[in-house]
Amino acid sequence: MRFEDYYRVMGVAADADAAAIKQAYRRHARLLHPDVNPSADAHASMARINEAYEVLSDTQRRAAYDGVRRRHQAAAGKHKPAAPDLASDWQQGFQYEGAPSAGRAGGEGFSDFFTSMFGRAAKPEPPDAKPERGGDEHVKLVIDAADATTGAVRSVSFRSLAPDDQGHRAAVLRNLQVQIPKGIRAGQHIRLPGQGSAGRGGGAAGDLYLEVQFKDATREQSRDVLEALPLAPWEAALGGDVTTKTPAGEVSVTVPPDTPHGKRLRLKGRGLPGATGESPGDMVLQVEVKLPASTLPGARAAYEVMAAAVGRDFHPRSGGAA
Amino acid sequence: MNDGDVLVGVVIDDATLTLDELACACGVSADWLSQRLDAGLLACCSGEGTARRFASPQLHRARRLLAVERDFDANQELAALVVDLVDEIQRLRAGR
Repeated sequence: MRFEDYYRVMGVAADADAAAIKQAYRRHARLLHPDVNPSADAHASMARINEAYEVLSDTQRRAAYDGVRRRHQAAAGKHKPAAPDLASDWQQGFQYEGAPSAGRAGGEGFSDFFTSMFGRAAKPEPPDAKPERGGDEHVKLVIDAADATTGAVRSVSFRSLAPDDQGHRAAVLRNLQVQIPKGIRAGQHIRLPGQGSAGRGGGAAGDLYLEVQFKDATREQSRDVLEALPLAPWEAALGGDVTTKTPAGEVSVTVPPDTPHGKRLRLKGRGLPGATGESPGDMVLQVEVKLPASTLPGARAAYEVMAAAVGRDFHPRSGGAA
Repeated sequence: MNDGDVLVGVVIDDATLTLDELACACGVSADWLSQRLDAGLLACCSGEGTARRFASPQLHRARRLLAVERDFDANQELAALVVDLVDEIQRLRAGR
């Protein structure tokens, strides 16, 4: 298991006070928040910052972590294998109750290091514990538009709190198979009752909320489905019926003559199914005119014929036509 | 139930949440939500008083309000402004 240097992650000194740690967290949150940072690794980076902040902003957790860190550094200085016994380290007079903060800015998922150190309660649940409902868990579920179009079963991995064999509450990794309902839209939540963290003292388990996102963010919340429609130049120029593959299967569409690159053709009612009483969305096909390479047999000669025939009257950089 | 079974959940836009369920899902008190509802920073999707119901957009917004308030020590009006602006950025990026 890799040791996590939370001070380095946060970019603060080991003796930084609470205000400096909070200031560093805010600085990172502004830069890395997935809502404002579109880069692919922003989510993972924010998750690391969240984890570091969870530890360094909590006095008890920070004290326990500092002890492990000192031993790690001492072991590394003596060229010994840097593998402190995290479980026994943190159990020395340190108690942890509850899951990491819910809803912190972007990024779920804590490292094995964090879970090993803070994911297990120091004492087993007392037999006379008052019944208390378990916490709800939130997980983002990224799916293909095709899953929403046709429905699908997808697996979901997340950590939730559950009692182990000794009665300690521990963060355990769970993997569920979930039915994706046909017609689900980005931003909608699927609620799975009783699949969140276990309750205490016989209390009910919390719920699991899956927030649906599409891999292609441009698909947004509409029931319309946007797909590319690649066309050969002659198909776009002359028009006619073409067939194309979409997540909903093969569809046939009539291309009008002189259809320009980028034009959107709408197939009414062929998008995502609507909820009860609502009409389905449309399938929107965006034309992409693909040029044959001049190296293809006959292509160069055909381009030369076209250039000779229409080159005098066709000016693509001044509006397209003469 | 085993983790290997296929689970069928409920899309919460079809079966909406009560105020207490929304509070539970956000990890906040019902009072916290009521304050933001009364201030017009959060809306319900249907009903009035104790019959108010909430769906995915309200759950999403409430959790983001909470994150901004907590992470930046923002007051509730400022947090709502930030969430509104982030929504606007996303709408513009999506070309809507």
